[in-house]
Amino acid sequence: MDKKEFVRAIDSFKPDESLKERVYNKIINGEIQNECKVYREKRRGYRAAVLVTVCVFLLCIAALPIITGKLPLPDDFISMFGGKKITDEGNSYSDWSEESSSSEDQNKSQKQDDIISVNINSYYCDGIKMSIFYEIQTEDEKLLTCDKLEGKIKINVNGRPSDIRYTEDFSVFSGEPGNWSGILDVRATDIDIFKEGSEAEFTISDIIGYDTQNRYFNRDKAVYEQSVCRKQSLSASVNFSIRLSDDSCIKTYNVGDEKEGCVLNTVIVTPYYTALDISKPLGCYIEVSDSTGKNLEKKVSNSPDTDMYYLCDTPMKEASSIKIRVYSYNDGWINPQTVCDFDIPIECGYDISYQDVRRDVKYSPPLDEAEDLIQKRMLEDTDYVLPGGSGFETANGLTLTINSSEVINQITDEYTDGQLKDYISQDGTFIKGLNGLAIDVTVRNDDSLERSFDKKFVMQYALGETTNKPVAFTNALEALSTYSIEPGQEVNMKVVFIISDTDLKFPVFCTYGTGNLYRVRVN
Amino acid sequence: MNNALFEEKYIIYSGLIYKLAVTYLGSVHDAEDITQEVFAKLFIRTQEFNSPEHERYWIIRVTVNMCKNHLNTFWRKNILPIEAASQKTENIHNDDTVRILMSLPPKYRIVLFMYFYEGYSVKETADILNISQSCVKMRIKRGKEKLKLNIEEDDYGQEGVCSCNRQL
Repeated sequence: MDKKEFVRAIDSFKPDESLKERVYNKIINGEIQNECKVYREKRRGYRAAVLVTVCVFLLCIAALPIITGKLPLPDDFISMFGGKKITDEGNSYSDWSEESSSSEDQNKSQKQDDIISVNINSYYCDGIKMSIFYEIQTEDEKLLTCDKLEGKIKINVNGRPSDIRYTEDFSVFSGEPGNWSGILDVRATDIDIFKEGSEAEFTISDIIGYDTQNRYFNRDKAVYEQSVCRKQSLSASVNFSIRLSDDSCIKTYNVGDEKEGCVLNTVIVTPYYTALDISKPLGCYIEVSDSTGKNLEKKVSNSPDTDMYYLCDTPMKEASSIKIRVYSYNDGWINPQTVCDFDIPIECGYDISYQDVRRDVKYSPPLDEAEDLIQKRMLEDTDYVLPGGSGFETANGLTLTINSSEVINQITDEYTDGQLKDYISQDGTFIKGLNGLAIDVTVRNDDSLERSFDKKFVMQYALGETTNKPVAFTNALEALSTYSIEPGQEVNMKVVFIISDTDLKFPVFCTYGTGNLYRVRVN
Repeated sequence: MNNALFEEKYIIYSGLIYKLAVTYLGSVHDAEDITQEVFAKLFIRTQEFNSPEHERYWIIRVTVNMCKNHLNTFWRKNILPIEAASQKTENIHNDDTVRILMSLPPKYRIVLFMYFYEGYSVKETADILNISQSCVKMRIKRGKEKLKLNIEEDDYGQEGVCSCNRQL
């Protein structure tokens, strides 16, 4: 069978002419009880939506230099991905590196806080990109108990308004008490900025220290939070004069190894990235790590499902090898299978930052006690809680009553038949098989005029920290955003929320209206 | 209801919904039911679509979901005698090519339909059918093998090769 035959086969499926009338009748006279709104092509607030979209787009454009500065890519990135081989001569890199001495030990002056100090261990700069390896130290007793620091980091080159100024939030972990290491990658927006001899100022500020091993229970939020060792406007800075790096920071390993149909040609390790030139069969992907156990996240690749080039994180400074494992997708992502491994010895890496190591976390109070605290806290919260069945008057004069609730274990045909008429929520989400909580609701209009009901229910958990909107209503074909109720009419419906087992572990409330005007516990 | 709007939407989407439903279910009667249901949902939907492409995406998604539901309902509650089942599908199996196509499992048929007939990419097909991209690729591969379909992915998109009626 060729393509024309395939297309012809599909084209042969033509609806009968009478189908049109049947569709029309179904819409007009069939199972839709209420009026259909005129189908609008544009929604309200379209102009406002367009204006907001344009503003966001302009903001993104303005922030683009900062965003791209986070990926240190070689000048000949495009040609590299076009298949240009990387050789020992390093031809690809000669354009962007200049002959110069090492850039280490260029600290000129430091402005240190009495409590905290920052130093530049080393940096690598090719005129366009710069990677700064910094170290933060302290002897403060409170900060010595912290394993994580957060704050702001800023690099300012030459100090003039037109020069590069870059700020980002940072988070670093300690390798030993009172010592944190991290990397800042910066990309110049103007090639002339990172000139030999340019003056740079590196600053850290707004430092907060955390003890991530000890978590304490916040009763108001009903969550465990990290302990804050010290929160103070700590800052420190260091100035240095930029010296451009030479090619010695680029380590090329021509491997040329073949296993199980995979060919690893070259591995290149630089301060900015690890580049892999690898060919593999279709349906395979790779994971990369170094000998210290650090996972080298893939930053960019030409095409994840085909052979080509990958750019990954740099290995740790003390790493002695890089490991590349090739997997086959097999049955989707469920059971990937290892195809082969490549272990490449390397001289060393460049990364000196410490990873977020999972360690034994101590909870105060213990976890099982916290659950009791949450239960007790929620039961004490009786504001605006009405028992089910007593009714509530809505803002426009309807009387609303939440009668009962029912947990649905996996929404199925049997449950939805006769009650919920389909599995699809209002946005087309397929909800079959999910766990749900169905609320039985009665809405009555005792007034002499027709009233509208907007069905704005939400489900609240854990002291109102999270909310959930309903996904389906009884007789979904009638599920208009606003339900009109005639005078003297009473409407009963089931409202379904998608929930998880964890959600039901604590008291759950169904709320209607603004804030907690009508709030009923449903489990 | 706005008759002009109905005419417009029916012209644009009836073929798509019907072909998709027949491809999935293998039955014209069931496909007609699905077509009615999908249009009914389209016209009672109150949320506007962001674009015509969004609308088309929604329609395909709803059609696929309704076909899935229908299959499950059919097998659980309506175990038909073999004779009755063959009557339901008789009028589309007269053609040998169609018969071969219908010999594939529904999950392969629908992926081939989305990819080769409708012209969606692997990613778009995966999003619409709510499966992984690798799953889409494998089903295309296996579907082609079973049909002995002589189509290369690169060939798709050339003018005159595809009669896709995808509209924007």
